[in-house]
Amino acid sequence: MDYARVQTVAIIGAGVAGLATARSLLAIGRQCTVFERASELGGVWADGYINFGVQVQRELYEFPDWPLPAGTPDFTPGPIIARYLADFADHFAITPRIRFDTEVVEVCTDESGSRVTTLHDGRRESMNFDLVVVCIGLYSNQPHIAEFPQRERFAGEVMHNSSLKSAAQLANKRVAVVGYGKSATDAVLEAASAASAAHLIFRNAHWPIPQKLAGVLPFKWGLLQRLNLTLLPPYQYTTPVEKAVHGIGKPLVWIYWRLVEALLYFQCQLGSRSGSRVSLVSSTPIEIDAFGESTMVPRPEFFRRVRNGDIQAHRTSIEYYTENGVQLADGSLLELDLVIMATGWKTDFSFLAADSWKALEPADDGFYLYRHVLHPATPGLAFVGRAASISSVLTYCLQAHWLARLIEGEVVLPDDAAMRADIAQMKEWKRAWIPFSSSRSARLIAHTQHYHDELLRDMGINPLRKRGWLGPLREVFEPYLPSDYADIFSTS
Amino acid sequence: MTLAGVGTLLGALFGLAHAVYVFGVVASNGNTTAATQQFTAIYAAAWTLLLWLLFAACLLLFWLLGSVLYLSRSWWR
Repeated sequence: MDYARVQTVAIIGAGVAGLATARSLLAIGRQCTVFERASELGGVWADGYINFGVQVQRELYEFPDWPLPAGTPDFTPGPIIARYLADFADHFAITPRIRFDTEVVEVCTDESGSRVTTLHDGRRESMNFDLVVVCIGLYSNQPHIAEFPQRERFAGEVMHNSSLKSAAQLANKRVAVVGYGKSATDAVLEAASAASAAHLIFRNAHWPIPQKLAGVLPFKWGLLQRLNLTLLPPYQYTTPVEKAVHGIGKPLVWIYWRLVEALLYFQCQLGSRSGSRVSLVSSTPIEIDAFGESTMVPRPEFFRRVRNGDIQAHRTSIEYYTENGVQLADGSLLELDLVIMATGWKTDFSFLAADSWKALEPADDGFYLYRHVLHPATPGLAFVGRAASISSVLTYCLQAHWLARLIEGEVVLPDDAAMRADIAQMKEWKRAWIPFSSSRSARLIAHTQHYHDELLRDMGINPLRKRGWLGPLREVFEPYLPSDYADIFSTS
Repeated sequence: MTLAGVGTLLGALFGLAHAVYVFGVVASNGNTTAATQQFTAIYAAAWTLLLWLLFAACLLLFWLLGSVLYLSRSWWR
């Protein structure tokens, strides 16, 4: 596809990725129309469950050159992020380009352009664009509710955690939360405070990332510096240093991760001496487990409340519903009034025309893209925000900037065969070791920095961004933050 | 020879190889003038060598400990 001729762009979704894309493309003078199905912008931040918020420190979740307002708390509550995004959209003149309450129902793309069909107030409308950028994230807005036998027998209520909006919904109820991700731990903490009984039912435990390592050091110091990057399971493309570290240095890497596991074990007291006598230790090594779908930074009180018995943990699965609760596979019977499914979201790209969808080669673990943005088989279609990253605002901004540079001709794509080979290699690399999930194709997590380096190299920008006399030292030991990339955006 | 001595000697060898690599990477990644980039690359390479010399003995100790535990993990797990 000839990206130089792109003048009109449709952006689907007005969340972080959509706003970042609109900002970058407006900056190079392209005409953007943003379609948002909701009546306000912000995507997942426009509306969430009770006390929802960011699970990383504030400096990791902001636009590189548009910092959060002074005084914003760490692990920023969702409503503050929603206001911040609205301010960003107003400042960069994106808001007038957003068509609210407008759902995209069909996208047909080919070499000559794309046709977008929308639904607004019951009226269908079709428009032509040179490029469609899908910015709806990894999942849809359709909750995934795990099914168990004999649901019809249960006299209580079953809901998705996204429907939990106030503590009143939990008052004086016996509640079980199903799942072991961030949203599950948040929901069960609310239940432990407001309900008469709080149970957490999960099949597998996962290594948590504490807000502060050893209770002192913010986790960014252990996850986002280049030293740690070298010790992770090797990236798709490995440097000679990483090859040596994972070759002759393997015992060193191995003992490093066992020490990290020991630190988490003692800090969070994950052993079976907790109130529920259930081990919260993952059966997967931390350096692998951290790339799974349930990577989370739980609130610090979560493990304390499991230990003191406020939350009853059950490491098993539900066999079936009974009239008054659930029968668990470990033989215990729980009497319940409410079951909350914190079991994620469905994926839904049904708005893509069948031939485009087939061309993306979707599989159980999602679809794989070149640089997580493009597929050579779907010209006229790009994705921003389809990357599970630790610093997602920065990642989406870099993706959007990369796309803008591609349109301007400053990023040159390899030929189709080379892009397909790269995608095939990524698929093989991820499937070899990253735990299965429906979003494995998009998972970067602790490898985020490697990905950012790739995008920057494509754009001809130096990925080594730490400056000053201590620059080389900072490059190895200091975490990378969105602010390290501010100059890239402020000059655009 | 003590563990610290062996570690430092190995650190010098690995450090030198790593410093050459770092020099190449930094020198090729810059977008400033060639002279500035050369200086930055030499400076980064010097830091690399220094860090290896300072911490190599510690790394050797952990490497030995890791080797013993890694090889015997099937026995104690």
